[in-house]
Amino acid sequence: MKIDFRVTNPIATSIPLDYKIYKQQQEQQKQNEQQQTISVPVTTTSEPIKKRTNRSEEQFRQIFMKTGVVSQASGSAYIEIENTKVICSVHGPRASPKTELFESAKFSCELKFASFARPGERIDYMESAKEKDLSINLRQSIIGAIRLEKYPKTVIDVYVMVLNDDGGVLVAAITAASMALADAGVEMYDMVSACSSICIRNQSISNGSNGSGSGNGSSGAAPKVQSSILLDPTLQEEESKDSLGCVVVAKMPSLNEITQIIQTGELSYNNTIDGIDLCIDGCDKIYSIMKQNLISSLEKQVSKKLE
Amino acid sequence: MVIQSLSPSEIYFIQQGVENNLRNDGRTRLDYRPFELDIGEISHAVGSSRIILADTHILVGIKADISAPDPLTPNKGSLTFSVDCCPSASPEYEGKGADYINIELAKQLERVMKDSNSMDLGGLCIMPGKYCWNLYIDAIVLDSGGNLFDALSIGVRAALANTRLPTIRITQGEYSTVDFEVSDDPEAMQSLDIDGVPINVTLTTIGNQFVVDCSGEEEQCMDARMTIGVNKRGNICGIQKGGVAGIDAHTINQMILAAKQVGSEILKTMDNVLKDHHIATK
Repeated sequence: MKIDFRVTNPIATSIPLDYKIYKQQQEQQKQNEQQQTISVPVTTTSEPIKKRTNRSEEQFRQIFMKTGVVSQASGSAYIEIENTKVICSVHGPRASPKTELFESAKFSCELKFASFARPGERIDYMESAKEKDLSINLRQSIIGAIRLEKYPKTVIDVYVMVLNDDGGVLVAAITAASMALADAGVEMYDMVSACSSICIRNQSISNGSNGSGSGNGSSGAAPKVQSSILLDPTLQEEESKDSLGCVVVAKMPSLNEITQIIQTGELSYNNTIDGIDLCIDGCDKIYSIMKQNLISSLEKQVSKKLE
Repeated sequence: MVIQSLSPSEIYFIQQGVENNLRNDGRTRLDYRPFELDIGEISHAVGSSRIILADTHILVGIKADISAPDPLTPNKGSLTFSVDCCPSASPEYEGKGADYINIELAKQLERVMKDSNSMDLGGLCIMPGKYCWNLYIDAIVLDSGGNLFDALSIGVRAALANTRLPTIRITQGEYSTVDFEVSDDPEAMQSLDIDGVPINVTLTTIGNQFVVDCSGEEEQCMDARMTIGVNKRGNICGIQKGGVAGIDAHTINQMILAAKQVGSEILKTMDNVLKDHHIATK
């Protein structure tokens, strides 16, 4: 059956469950009724970004990783980037249910949001276009690292479940998936680590004191906007109206090859390059954490067996 | 699944050609193929275009309707993209394979055109918080000869330039109701500001080099591809990598720079043509 994945506007009667927006709308409606005017005063509902207080602009959030969390899977991993929580399991390499012959393993990825993973409306169980897009990106990030030719006539399935989304879902998913693949013992050229960065319009344009100078203003014919680049954005930062654009990079650090790069938003050339460079550095840092975690989990397994 | 129709020696021939900066249709690495644009051919659509880029043949039609805007952006209209690859165009667009490609193409268009906020959607607002225009941009791939990403974005940009929406006047009715008054004057049509709308430039790595606007045959020799959105201001409006192989950071910098150059040239010629067409139809 052909499914229509086009995103349609929500029905006019539906009310977003975000209380803040709902309340603002209610107040607006009251005001309108009182004023009896045609033009509705436009208020922006997305808040400006508060300055980061607990970490610097080029600092990660706290990361927690654990492998071997799903007993039924051949390999699994759980990752927490503060409030972004992702669980991933790998099934296979296992025999293909079809009897056709192929020389290398078939690799498929599926990313799914839990219905309660995001603020606002409940997420439908049916796979949305966003989930499908994330699955495609996830697959493209990892497939280059796996030695598929080592596993003929088999399939490898990766399932990622997003339990809570607080920004950087794709980053968490890629990291979790390559950890889970390593946990499953699938042969890989290298593990893939990922990192995201965001370009933010600066508030302090009037006094001219650009305190954070990681990414400098735009160049060329673009309107002069002072901007700074932040590493590892939260959901609030990603969806804020001050966000100019976002970059996600997935990389195989020991081969020094970029396997996936996604940029959204309108950024100047300099900002794009700065954002990519920051992400590349971030990938290397995440990679070292992944390695440590895998080694310690392996040590635990071995010592358990020896007992 | 890509159906492998090239032999290993043909692939080797193309790879060597790219290495020596001479491709099998006589172009150099950063040469674009000439393309043809037809604008406003579909009478039932508010805007339409047809692009013929060598063998690639794409039809874009835009339909519009009015509904309530997203509560998060009360003073903006919305764009909805869909791409349909005809099974008649290529056997790889049959059944489930098409689903995968359609979503990838539509999502990339959405990323470049909508998520980049480079297009001014304020013009699509009729009454803030209450009514706005929704544009449904549907593209049909009738024939594929490589470089679908770029051709689609050029087609969509031309169709947006061609879009004419009727002007609507709002008057206050009784009991705080709102009356619409649609102007029936064909001259008083509202057009969109497409100055910031980007186009895609896809760069494909073959061997150690990258090429622009690759043909269907060259796509089969592809190692990796980067689709980069570029607009007239010279800004980058969305990057998406495809393909299995990795690219090192230095090459990525070069590719973005090349895309910026190639993109601005296409945009310049395209806008001249669109302007001429606009004057001619008036």
